[in-house]
Amino acid sequence: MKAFNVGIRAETLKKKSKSLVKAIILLAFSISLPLMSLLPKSRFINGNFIAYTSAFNFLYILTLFPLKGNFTRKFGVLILGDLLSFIWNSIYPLFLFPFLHENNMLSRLFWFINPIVNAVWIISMWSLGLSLIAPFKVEETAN
Amino acid sequence: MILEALFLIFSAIIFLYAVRHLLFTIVVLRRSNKANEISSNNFCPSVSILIPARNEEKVMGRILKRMVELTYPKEKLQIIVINDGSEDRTGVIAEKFAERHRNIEVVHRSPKEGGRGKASAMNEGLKHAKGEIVLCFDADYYPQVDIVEKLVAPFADPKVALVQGRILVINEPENLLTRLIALERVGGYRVGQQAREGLGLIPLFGGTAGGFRREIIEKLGGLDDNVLAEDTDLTFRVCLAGYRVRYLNWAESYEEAVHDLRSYWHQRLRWAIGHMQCFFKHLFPVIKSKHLNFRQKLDGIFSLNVYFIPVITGIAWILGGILLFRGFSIFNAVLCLIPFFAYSTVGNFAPFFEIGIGMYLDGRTKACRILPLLFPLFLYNILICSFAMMKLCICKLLGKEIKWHKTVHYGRGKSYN
Repeated sequence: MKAFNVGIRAETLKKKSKSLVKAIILLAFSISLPLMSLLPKSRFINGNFIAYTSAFNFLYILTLFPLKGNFTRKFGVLILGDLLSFIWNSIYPLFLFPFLHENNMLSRLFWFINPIVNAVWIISMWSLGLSLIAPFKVEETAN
Repeated sequence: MILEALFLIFSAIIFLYAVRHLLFTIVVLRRSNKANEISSNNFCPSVSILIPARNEEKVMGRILKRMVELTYPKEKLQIIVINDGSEDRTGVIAEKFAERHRNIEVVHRSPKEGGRGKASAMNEGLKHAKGEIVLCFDADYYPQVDIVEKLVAPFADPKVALVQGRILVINEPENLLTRLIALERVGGYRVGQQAREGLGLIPLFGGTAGGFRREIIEKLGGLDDNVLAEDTDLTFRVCLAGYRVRYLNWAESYEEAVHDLRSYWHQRLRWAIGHMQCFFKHLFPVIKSKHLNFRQKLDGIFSLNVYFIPVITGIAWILGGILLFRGFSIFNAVLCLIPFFAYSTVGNFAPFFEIGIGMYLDGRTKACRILPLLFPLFLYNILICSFAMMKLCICKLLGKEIKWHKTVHYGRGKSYN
């Protein structure tokens, strides 16, 4: 009986430490991006990347991680999303910068369309994350 | 300055709707882990089922076959088909069923009398209904066999006047549009209606796959055939009279979704105009109502205004563009980009979140992969609702009557897996 109780306690402790590690990973992940904005500006890490990746991480972590499902899969899509954001917001504007000047029409059009275009990848990655989660099951507690 | 003020007001309205979507989703998600069906407690009133039909020969046989299969006691069930001036074999098919089954009746309207919309046909059917409770189904619907028992149960409470069941799409696998409509339906019913029910707000009666207490509706003067969304109109009339509307997520019916963009345009245009008519008719009575509490009033205003939101979004985008191009001052840039950024991420995300969580709760997460494709459909809805508003204004100014545009059904998706 004693050995059985010790076994249960060890199991609970293992579960608790696992969820603690997951929580720490997620917390570190969510605060790392805003912290990046304190770094000196570079060509690759710009305001756009930080803003949109933070928005994606915030929405993704808050809405998908509380749902039941494989942590690794969810985390994998989160990283994939951040990578896509990096490509989209850091590399692609590099090709456009020669055409975008401070005050020209094209530049204004870019700033105008950019949030909408970013919303498309945010929703796509979020949907992909959701589609990999196991279906929900109702507990039979009908009255 | 006026443009800036308008832009900020519109952005604030859009933001409030986004918050509402998020709130509804979180509420449904939190309360989802229990099945809370209402037990009928041996409540077994007499029921009349109305099936208004105009040129529905392709689906008439299917619904009547289903009506025969219903498990509700036959002696308490009256089924009335209202053949609304059909020019095809709808009436003949219905008559054949009526010959074989004593509880099926057919009411024929001449082509001159018919074709004036669903509300007019339903009022005709109401004259023949004898049941204490009246349920209604469109001809393209395919309900569960025990749907009557489920829909009737809440009427045991005398304060309940209207009941709405859940609608799913029978021809979902047909093409991309029907798949996207199925997603919209999941968001609207599994999350939107369910949240309203859970929070004690005002679930909307959809005019089909639901029903009402005959006595109350007759007291209110039947359905208003001057309004294109007679269902929404009835919801608010019932609530303003102090009665309750219930939504039952477990009472499911399948419908045939429109399968091309042209039919989608006509159907949504009718819904949008109808809702806008209801907005002008019920906004002030809802605000002044003594029967509704603050939360219900607020939700009522949100629901009445819902078809103006795509128009407001479209105008906000145009205004944002004008402000941005007028001068790229820091003020303008901040003014335009902050609401833009907020809406495009958190705001625009909200309806997708609602639909995605609805799919998750239905155990169909794999179908979420096509969720981003709803974007073009949202843009299409902006066009439809803007056109609806213009049409309504022009018809009001010129004193013209807005005609009912019927959705054509083809009897697609006969089996649902």
